[in-house]
Amino acid sequence: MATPLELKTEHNPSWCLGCGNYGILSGLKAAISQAGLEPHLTVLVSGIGCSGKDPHFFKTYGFEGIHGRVLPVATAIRLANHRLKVIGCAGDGDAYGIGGNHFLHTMRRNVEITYLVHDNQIYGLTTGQTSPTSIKGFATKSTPFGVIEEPVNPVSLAIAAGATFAARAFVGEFNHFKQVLVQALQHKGFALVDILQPCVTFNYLNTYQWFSQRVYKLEDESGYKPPDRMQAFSRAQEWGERIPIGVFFQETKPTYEDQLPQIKERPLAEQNISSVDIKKSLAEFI
Amino acid sequence: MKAPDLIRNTIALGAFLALIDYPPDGMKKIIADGFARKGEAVVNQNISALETGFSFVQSNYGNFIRKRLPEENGPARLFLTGNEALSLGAIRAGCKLLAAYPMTPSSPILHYLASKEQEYNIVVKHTEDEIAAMNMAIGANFAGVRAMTCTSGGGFSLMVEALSLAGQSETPVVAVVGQRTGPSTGQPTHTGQGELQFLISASQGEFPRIIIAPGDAAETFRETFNAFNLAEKFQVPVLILTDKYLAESYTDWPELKNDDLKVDRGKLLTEEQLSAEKDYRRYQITPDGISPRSVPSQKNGIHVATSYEHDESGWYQEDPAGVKKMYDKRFAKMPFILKEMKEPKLYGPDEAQITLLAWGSTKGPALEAMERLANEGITANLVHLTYLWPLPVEALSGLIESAQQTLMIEGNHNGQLAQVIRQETGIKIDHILTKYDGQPFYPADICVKVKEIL
Repeated sequence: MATPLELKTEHNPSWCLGCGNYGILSGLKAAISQAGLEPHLTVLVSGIGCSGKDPHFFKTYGFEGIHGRVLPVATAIRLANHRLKVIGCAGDGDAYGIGGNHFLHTMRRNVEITYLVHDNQIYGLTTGQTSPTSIKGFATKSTPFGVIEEPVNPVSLAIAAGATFAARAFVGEFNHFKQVLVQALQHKGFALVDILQPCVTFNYLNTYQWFSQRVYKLEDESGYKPPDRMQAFSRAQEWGERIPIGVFFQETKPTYEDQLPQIKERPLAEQNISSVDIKKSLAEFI
Repeated sequence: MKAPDLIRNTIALGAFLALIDYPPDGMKKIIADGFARKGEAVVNQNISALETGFSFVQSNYGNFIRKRLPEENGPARLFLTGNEALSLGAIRAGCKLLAAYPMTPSSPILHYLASKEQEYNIVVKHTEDEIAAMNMAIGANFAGVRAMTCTSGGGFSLMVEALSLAGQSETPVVAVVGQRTGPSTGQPTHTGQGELQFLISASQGEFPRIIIAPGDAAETFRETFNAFNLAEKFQVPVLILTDKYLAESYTDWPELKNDDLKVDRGKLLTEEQLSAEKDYRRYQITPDGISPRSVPSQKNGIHVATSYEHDESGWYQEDPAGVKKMYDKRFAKMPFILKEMKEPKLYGPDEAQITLLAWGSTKGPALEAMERLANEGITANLVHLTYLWPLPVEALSGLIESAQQTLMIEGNHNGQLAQVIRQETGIKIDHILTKYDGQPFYPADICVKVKEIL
C-alpha cells in the first residue's frame, strides 16, 4: 500500500482553477491509500475528456484509451489478471453518451471495476456542448436554444441494469465523497460512483453553490437501507430541489470473473504458454 | 416403402464414385454409420440407392470413367476448415482471450474457441459490439495476455479507431478479418478479396502494421501462430486477412506440423530484468524502435500506456521535435519488420510463358490452373503472396521483373494488390483478372484468361 503522497507523480494537471477534478484527484488518492491498494496491482483506465488525464497523476499502472471505451479495456484487464484492482475514470459524455452500450453490458456482467464517472453535465474538454446528463432546457454551444431531451439518470440506469453497487457523490462534500470511494473500491463487483463535479468554466448552471443547496446524504435519512432495490430505485428518481448522495444500492453477487473456471487456479496472465500441447484437438479432425 | 426424393443425393453420390472409379464399399460403411440411428430400413434404402447410381454409370457411361483417387487407404489425414486451422494456430500460440462479435465468415472461430475454453483455459467473450471486442483484445494484451479478435469487414470498420489506439500505444494485438462480398452488407455468405487496401490504410494517422493473408488451411495454422509472435515482437497490430472461401472450406492435410514452433514474446520484461531498472520508461527510444515492455503487476514497471502522443515515459508530448522523434521511433521498426516478412513464393517452373500472381486463398485455384495449362502445353508459374504488408518489395520486384508477362488474379473490382504493387514498386502488372460476384476463382476462369492473353 502507499500513502497519498507516495501515489503522487511528477506531473501536475492543467485543469481550470476550481475544477471538480482536483477534488476527485485528492479524494481518490486518499481512498486508494485507505483501501490499502498496492500501486503495482492497481490500474487506472481512462478515456478522453478532462477526466482522461487522471492516470498520469497516480503512481499506479494506467491505460489512457479512446473516447467511450474505458469499460471494455477495464474488463479485459480484469479478465487477463483478476489480481489487479481496476478503476475506470470517465466523464459523463464518455460513460453515458458514446460509451453507453458498454456501460449497460458491463453492469449486467458484474465485472469487478470501480467506475468513477466525473459528471459535470457538460462537455468541458471540447469547450462546452451538451452532455447526456445536461438538464432539460440548458443552453450550450451545441444546444443554443436549450436541450430538448430529458437527461440520463445514471443511478437509476445502474440499478435497472444490474449493477451491484450504485452511488452518487459530490466533490463539494469531500469527506463523504472519500468515504463513498472507499466503499466502492472495497466492493466485490461492478461499482458505479456518479460524481457530481462542477465545471467552473462551461457549466454556469450546476455550480458548487447550486449543488450545496440541494444535496443531502442518504445515510442521514432514517430507514434507508442500501440492499433494498425498490427503495433505491425510487430514491434515485429524486432530482431537483433535493438531490440525494451516498450509496443507493449494494448487493453481493458472484462476479463475472468468479464464474470462470479457466482462471480459478491462476490468472490468464500467469499461465504458461511456452508450449501449448494441441495434439488432442488435432486428433479430433482426423 | 417408397423412397423419398431426398434419396437422389445418395444416387448421385453412387454415380460420382463410379465416375472416379472408386470402390463403393467405404461409402457404404459411412452410410451405415451415419444413418444407423434412423433404423435398418433407411440404411438399406440408401445403400441400394448408392449401388443404383454406381451401376447406372458403369453400364451407361463407361467412357467417362477415370481413375482420379488412389484406392489404398493411406495414413489418416486431417480434414478441417481455414477457421479451424486458424483457431488451432491461436491456441498453439498461447492466445488466452478472444473477444468477438459474431459475423460471417469469422463466427466459427468464436464457436470453436468457446468450445475449447475450459480445455485450454482461454476466456472467450462474446461482446456487445466490435468496438468492445477490439478494445478488449487490446486491454488484455496490455495486461500481458495474448489476445485476439475476429470479424469481417463491417465489424472491422467499427474496430478501426481502436486499431489506431494499438498503433499509438504500441500494444500488440491480433485481429482476423474474414472477407465477404461488399460493399455494406453485400453478400454476407459469399466470398471476396475486397478489403486489402482498407486494411492497409485503416487508421487515423500512420503507424506500422502487419498484414498476413494465408493461402490455405495449413498456412493459416502456421501464420496465425506467427501473427502472435510478430505482434509481441514488434508491439504492433497484426491483421490476418482471410475470406469466406478459405475460412469455411474443408481441405485435407497429412498433418499440421507444430513441434518446431517457438513462442517469442519479444521484449517483454521479466520481474528480474525490471528490478535492475532505475528509471523504467515504457516508450524508450531504441535503435530498432521497440521498447522493453512491462505489464501490470510487475513492481518496477509502472507506466501509463496512452492514445496520446507522448514522450518516452508516456507523458503528453507537444514539443514538435519530440513528437517527430516518437513518430520516427515507431517507424524505425519497419526495416526490422520487413526482414521478417516472408518472401512471395514461386510455384512451378522458373521460366514460363506467363507468370500468375495471386494472394490469399486464390492460391489453390491458381495452382490448379497452372497444372491444367501445363497439360495443354502452356507453361505458367505462380507468384503467391501471403505476407502482404509491409510489401516484401525487393523479392517481389525480382520475381516480377524476371517474368515474361504477368497476370494478377484478384477477387475484387479494382485489382487492389496490383495497385499496391504499382504504388510501392512502380511496376505495372501486365494483365489483371478480377472477380467480384461472390464466387471464388475457378481454375477454368484463369485458364480462359491466360489463353486469351497468349
